Amino acid sequence: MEAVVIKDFFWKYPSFTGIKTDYILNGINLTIREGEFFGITGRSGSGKTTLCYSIAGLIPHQLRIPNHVEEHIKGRVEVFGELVAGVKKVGNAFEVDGIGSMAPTVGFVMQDPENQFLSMSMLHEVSLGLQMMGLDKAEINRRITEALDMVGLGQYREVADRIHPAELSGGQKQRLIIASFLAMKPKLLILDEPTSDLDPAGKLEVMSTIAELRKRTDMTIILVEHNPDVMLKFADRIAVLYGGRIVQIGKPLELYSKPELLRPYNVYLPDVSELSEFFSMDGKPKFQLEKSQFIPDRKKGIRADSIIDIKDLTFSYPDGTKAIENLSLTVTKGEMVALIGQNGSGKTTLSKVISGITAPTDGLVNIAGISANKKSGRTKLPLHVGYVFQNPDHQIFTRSVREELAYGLVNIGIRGKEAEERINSVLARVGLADKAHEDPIFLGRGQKRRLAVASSIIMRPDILVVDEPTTGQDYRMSRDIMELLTELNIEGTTILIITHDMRLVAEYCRRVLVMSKGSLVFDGTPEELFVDEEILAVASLSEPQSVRISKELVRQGFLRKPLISAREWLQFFNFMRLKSGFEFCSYAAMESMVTSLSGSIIEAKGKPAAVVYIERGGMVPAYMMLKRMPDVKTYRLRASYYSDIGTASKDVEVYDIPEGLQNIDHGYMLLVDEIVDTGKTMLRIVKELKDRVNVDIITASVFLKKESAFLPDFHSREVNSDTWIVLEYEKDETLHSVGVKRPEDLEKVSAMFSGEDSEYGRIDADSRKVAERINKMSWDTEAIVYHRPDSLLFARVLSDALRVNNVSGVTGPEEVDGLALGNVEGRIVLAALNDSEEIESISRRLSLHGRVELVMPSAQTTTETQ
Amino acid sequence: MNNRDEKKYVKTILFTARADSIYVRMNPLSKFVILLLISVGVVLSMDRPVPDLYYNLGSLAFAFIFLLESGTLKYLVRSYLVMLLIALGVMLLWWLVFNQTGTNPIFSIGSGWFHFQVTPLSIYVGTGKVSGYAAMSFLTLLTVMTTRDADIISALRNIRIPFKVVFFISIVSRSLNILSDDLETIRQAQISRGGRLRSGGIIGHIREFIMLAVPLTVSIIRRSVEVGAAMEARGFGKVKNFTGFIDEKGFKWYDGALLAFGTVMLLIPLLLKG
Amino acid sequence: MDNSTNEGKKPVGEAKADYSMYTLKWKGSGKVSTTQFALYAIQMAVVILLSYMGVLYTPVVGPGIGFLYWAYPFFVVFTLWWGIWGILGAWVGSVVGAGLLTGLPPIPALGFSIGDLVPALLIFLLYRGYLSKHGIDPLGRDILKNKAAMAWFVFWVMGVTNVIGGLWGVWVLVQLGFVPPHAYLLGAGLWIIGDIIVLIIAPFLTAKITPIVERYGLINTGWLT
Repeated sequence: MEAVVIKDFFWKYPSFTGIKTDYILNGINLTIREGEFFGITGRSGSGKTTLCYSIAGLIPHQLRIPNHVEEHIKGRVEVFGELVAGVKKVGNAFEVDGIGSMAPTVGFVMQDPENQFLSMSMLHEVSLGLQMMGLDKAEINRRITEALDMVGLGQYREVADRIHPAELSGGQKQRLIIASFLAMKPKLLILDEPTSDLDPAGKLEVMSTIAELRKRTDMTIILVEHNPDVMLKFADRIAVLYGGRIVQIGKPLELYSKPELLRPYNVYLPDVSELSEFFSMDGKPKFQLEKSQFIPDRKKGIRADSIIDIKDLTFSYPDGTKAIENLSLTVTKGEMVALIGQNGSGKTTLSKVISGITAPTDGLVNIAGISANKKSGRTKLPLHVGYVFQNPDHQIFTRSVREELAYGLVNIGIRGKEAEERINSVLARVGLADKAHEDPIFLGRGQKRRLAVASSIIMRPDILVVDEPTTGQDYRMSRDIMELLTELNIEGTTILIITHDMRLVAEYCRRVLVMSKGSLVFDGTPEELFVDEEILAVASLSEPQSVRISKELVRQGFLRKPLISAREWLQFFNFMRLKSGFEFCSYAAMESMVTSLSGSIIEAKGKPAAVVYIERGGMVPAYMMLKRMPDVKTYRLRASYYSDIGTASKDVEVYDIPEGLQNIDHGYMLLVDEIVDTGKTMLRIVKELKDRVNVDIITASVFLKKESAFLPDFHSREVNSDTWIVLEYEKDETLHSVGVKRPEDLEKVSAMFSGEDSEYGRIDADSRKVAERINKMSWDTEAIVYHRPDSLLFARVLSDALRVNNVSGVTGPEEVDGLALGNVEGRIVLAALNDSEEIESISRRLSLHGRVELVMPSAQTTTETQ
Repeated sequence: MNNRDEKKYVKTILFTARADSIYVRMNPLSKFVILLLISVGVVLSMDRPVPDLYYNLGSLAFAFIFLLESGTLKYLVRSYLVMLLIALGVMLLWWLVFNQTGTNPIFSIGSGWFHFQVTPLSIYVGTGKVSGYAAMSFLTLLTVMTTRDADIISALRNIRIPFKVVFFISIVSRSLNILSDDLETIRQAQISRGGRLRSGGIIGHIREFIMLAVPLTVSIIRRSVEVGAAMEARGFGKVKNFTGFIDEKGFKWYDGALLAFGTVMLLIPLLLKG
Repeated sequence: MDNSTNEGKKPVGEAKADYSMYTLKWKGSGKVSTTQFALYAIQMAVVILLSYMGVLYTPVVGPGIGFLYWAYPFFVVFTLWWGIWGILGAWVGSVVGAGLLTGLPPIPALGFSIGDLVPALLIFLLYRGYLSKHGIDPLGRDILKNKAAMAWFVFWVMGVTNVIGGLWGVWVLVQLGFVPPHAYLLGAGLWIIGDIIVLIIAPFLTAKITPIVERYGLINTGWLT
C-alpha cells in the first residue's frame, strides 16, 4: 500500500493585507511507499517544510483562508488512502476538503523543539499525546518507558516527572519530542530537520534509532535534512525540492554521485561529491594516487597583540550553578576562532561575557583593552564587540532594513552623513542595497541572517561573535555568510564563531576552542583536533568526511598529513596535476593569433558556411574571426560547464544545438574554441553535431594542450598540459581560481594583468565599470544575454566580472524563446551597446523568462524593464 | 540536565526547591488555600485601627520556617530581599506620614496644616501593617517558589477542570518559560547593539519598551503558529477521551495538618474581633 | 509554517479604510482554531511577563503601587487585537505577573487587578462598539495621524478608563488596610500619572506592530475570535 500519494498539489499561503503571494508548492506529484525511508532536501524556502505540513494535514486546515479557497490549494494529498488535504466544490464556491491531522497515525516532528514542548515536565510531555489518545494509565506508563529508552533518555525515566523543560538542552528536547511521537506508534513519521540542535554524534545516534525502529515496525519515515551523510546512510530515496517543485528524485547514492545534477539547487553535497572529478562513487577509478609530499597551504598563526584576555573566569547562575569555571584564554587580533562543544558546555555564556552582555562572576576579563569586570566597561563593550545572535528574529527592532542599520549607529551617537555613508556601504557589502526600504521581518531567511551581521558590522567592531551562522541555512547561504566573515577577518576583525558544523570549522577557522562542562578542554588547529580522538569523544564531535578519507591515506603512506576540507583536497589534486607555470595571453596577442589562424583556415578551406562557437570559451576567438569574415553566419552552442571549484563535470553534456545548422547544405562549418584542454568537450560536440549536420565540420582552437584526447584541425599554439593559460579578459575568474587552487601564486598572476592602453583596454574598463555598478545594485544576476555579435565582447567581460556562466547571444527577438535559460530566479542581464527598438523587443520577450535588466557600456545608469 | 542525582532539587515556578520538602510535596491547591486562609487572617488583623503585630509576626515565622525547610530562603534573599525591603520601607513611611495618630510624639515637626509627628502608636500601627504585609508576601513567595507548574496542572485536572482549560493554563505557563528566554535574548541583542550607551531615565525606558515591541510581536506570532501546529500534530483537535494525569498528587496527612493550621489562623482574628 | 516569504512584494494598492468588520460580535471569525488557542495563551504569558518585569524594574511608590506598569500599553494593544483574551490577559497579568510572582499577596492582587480588567473592557467597548463606526481605527493605528483618534485616546484610554482603574485599585488597597485612608488621593494620583506615562508608547505600538499581526490574519474581528 502507498503511504503517501500527492497529485498535482499546489499551495499558496493566504494573504490578509492585499499583498500578492506566490505558490510555495508548485505542482507536487509524489508517491511514498509504506515502510519507505524517504528523504527531502533542497535550498531554504524551496517548500520542504510546507510540504511536510501538507502531508501532516496542517495545511490547509490550520490556516484561515479568507476567500477563494481554490486559488490557494489545488490537487490532493492522500495518506494511507485517506484524503488529508484537498479542495471540493460546494454549490458555486470551493471549500477545503480532507480530514486534516491524522494523529496518532501520522506523527510530525518539527524543527524547533522549544515550540513543540507543550507540557511542564519530561514525563508529561511524552504522556500528552498518549493521554489525548485516551490510552489507559498502565499502557501509557509502558510506552513512556519504551520511548525514552529508544531516544537515549531512559536514565531519566524515574525522575522524568521532576524534570522541567528549562532543564533540558536543545538536543535533549529534540530527543524528547521524537520520543513523544514514537510513543504514539505512528504508521508515518514526518521529521522536519529534527536533529539540527544535536551535535554530530548525537545526530547519527538518533537517526540510527529511528531507522532501526522503522525496520522493526515497518513505519514509513519522511525526513527533511540538509546533511548528505545522513541521507546517504539512511534514506531509501530522496527528493530535491526547488521553487516548490520536485526537481530530482532517486536513490541518494545515485543522486549524490552526479553533483552536476544537484549543484544548481543549492543542496549540500558530501565532500567526495564536491571532488567528483577525482573521487568516483561507482567503483571506477578516476585518479591515480601517488605517494606525495604534499602539505596543504594553511594560514599560519598570527603574531599580534591580544584582544581577548581572560584569566580564571568563573560564571555562576543566580541559583549557584557554575556555567564556566576557572577558564583562561587569550585571543590575538585578527584571529578567526571556532568555539565548539556540546549544548550546555558554556560556550554561549563565554561569548556573552566577552561581549559584555553578561557580567563575569569571578576572574579577570579584558576585551579590547576594556575591563568587562566593571559595569562601566561592559557598557562600552558594544562599541568594540558585535554579537550576532542565532535567531535573527530576536534582533530585528524596526520595520525597515535601513532603520535597522541606523538603530545601532544612533545608539553610539553616529547620525547624519556619516551614518548614511556607513549604511550604504554596509548594504552594498551584504547585498541588500535593493532591500533598503523593505520590512526586515519579511525578508528571506538568508537575507535576515545577513542583515543581522550587517547590523553588527556597521558599528565597526574589533571583535565579531557569531552564534551558529549556518544553522538552518542552505549551501549557498552558508557559503555567502562564511565568505563575508572571512572578508571581514582579512580586513582585521577578530572573529569568534560558535558552531556545531565541523566542515565549516575545517574550512574557515585556523584555531578551534572546545569547551566541555564549563572548561576549555582543547585549544589548537582543526587538524590537531581531528586527530585527537579523546577530545572528539568528549565533545561528541565527528570528523568531516574529508578528514576520514585522508586519515586512511596517511595510514597507508600516500599522504603526510590528513587533509581537512574539500578545499585542501582540491589543492592536493591540483598540486599533483599542475606543477608548472602560467602563460599570460593578452587580448592583443589573442587577436593576432586568431587573425593568423583565420588566414590559414581560409587559405586551406576557403570561407566557412557557418562559424559555430562554444559558449563561453569560443566567444572571443569567434568574435575576432568574424571581424575578418562579417558576412558568415554564426551560431552558438553550449556544453555543460562547472567552474565553482574548478572541477569539470564527469560527462560533457551538449545542449542548445541551433536548428539552423541542419539547413547548411554547402561548404563546411567551423567549430571554434579558445583552448582544447582534455579534449573531452570537443570530442563530444563533434560527435553530437556529426549526426545532425550535412556538411563537414572543421575544428579550430587557439590553444591546444599536449595531452588532449582531441586534435583540432587548426590551432595556433600548443602548450604543456600543466600550463595554466591566463586570458586577459578572464581576470576575475582567473584570480578567483588561482586564489583557491594556488594561493601562493596569486601575487604573481595578479601582476600579469597590468592595464593595456589599447582599444580592448577601454572596452574592458568600460565593461568592468558596468559590472561594478551591477554589483552595487546587488542584483542576483543569473544569466547574461547579449545582442550578437556587437556586444559579444562586452558580455564576455561582464560574465567574467560578475562570475556568471549562463551567457547566450541572440541576433533578434525571435531567437529569445529558443534560449535554454533554465530556471532563472534572479535577474537576466541584457547586454547591448545601445538601445534600439530591437533591443526593446528582445527585452520584452526575455521578461517572460525572468526579471530583465538592460545594461549598456555607455550609459551612466542602468535602466530597468520588467 | 546532566545527572539524575541532581534531582534532589526540582525546578519550580520561580527558582528551584528541595524535592522532598513538605511544601514541595503538598498539593498545590492545599498550598493556595492555606495562603488564602492566612492572608484573610492577616488582612483582618491589619484592617483594624491597631493591627495585631504578634499575629502578623506569627504568620511571618510560619512562612520563614517553610522557606527554610524547602531550601528556597536563599533564593528569596538573593533576588527579592532588596526589593521587598524597599517596598516595606516605603509602606512604613506612608503609614508614618499619612496616619497621624497617637499622643506623646517621639518626633514632631511643623505646625498648623503642616504638622508631622511620629508617636509610639503610629510606629506600632506602621510596624503592624508592614509586618502583616511582609507575612503575606513571604507566604506568597513560599507558595510560588515551592510549586511546580506541572503540579498545578495535575491538581486542576484532579478537581475535574475541563481538559481544554487546563491545557490552556499549561500553554500559558510553558510560554512564560519560552518567552522569558526570548525577552532575555532580545534585551541582550539590544545591549549588544549599544542599547545601554544612550541616556537612561524614563525616556530611555520608553524607547527600550518601544524597541521591544517588534521582536516580541514576531516571537508571539511565530511561536503561536508553531505551538498550534505542534498541538494538532499530537491530536489536540480530535481528543475524544482524555486520560487523567498519571502522577496525580493526592492529599496527604501534611496537607490536612497545614490546612487545619490555616483554618485556626483565620479563626484567631475573627474570634478576637468577636 | 512560514507564510511570510513575500520578498520584495508591495501591497497592490492602498485600500480605503474599512472598519466595518471589527464589531462586538461574540465570534467574529468562527470557532477558536488551535493556532488561536495557542496565540491567546501566549499573549497572556507575555502580559504576565511584562507585568512581572515592570514591577521588578520600577520603583515602588506606595504600598502595592509600582510607579511604571509597563504591561499596561501592551495589554491595551492586545485588547484592541484580541478582545476578550486581551481583557483576560490584563487581569491575569496583573494577578499573576504583578501579583503572585512578585510576592504581592493574592487578596489585594485579586482585588485591585479589577482596576486593569475594567479599563481594558471599557477600551474595547468604545473602540469596537462606537469608534469603529465613526471613522476611527478600532485597532488604534491612526492615533498619531488623526486628531480625533488622538483626542479619543487621550480622553478615554489615558483619561476616563485610567482614572477609573486608579481610583478602584487604590480604594481596594485602602479597604484592605494597606494604604492609609488619608493617602487615598495621592496613591490614586501616582497610579494614574504612572499609567499616563507608560501609555505614551501605546500609539507607537499600534502603529508599528499591528500591521505584522494583521498580515498573519490573526486579529479578532469579534470578542472571542
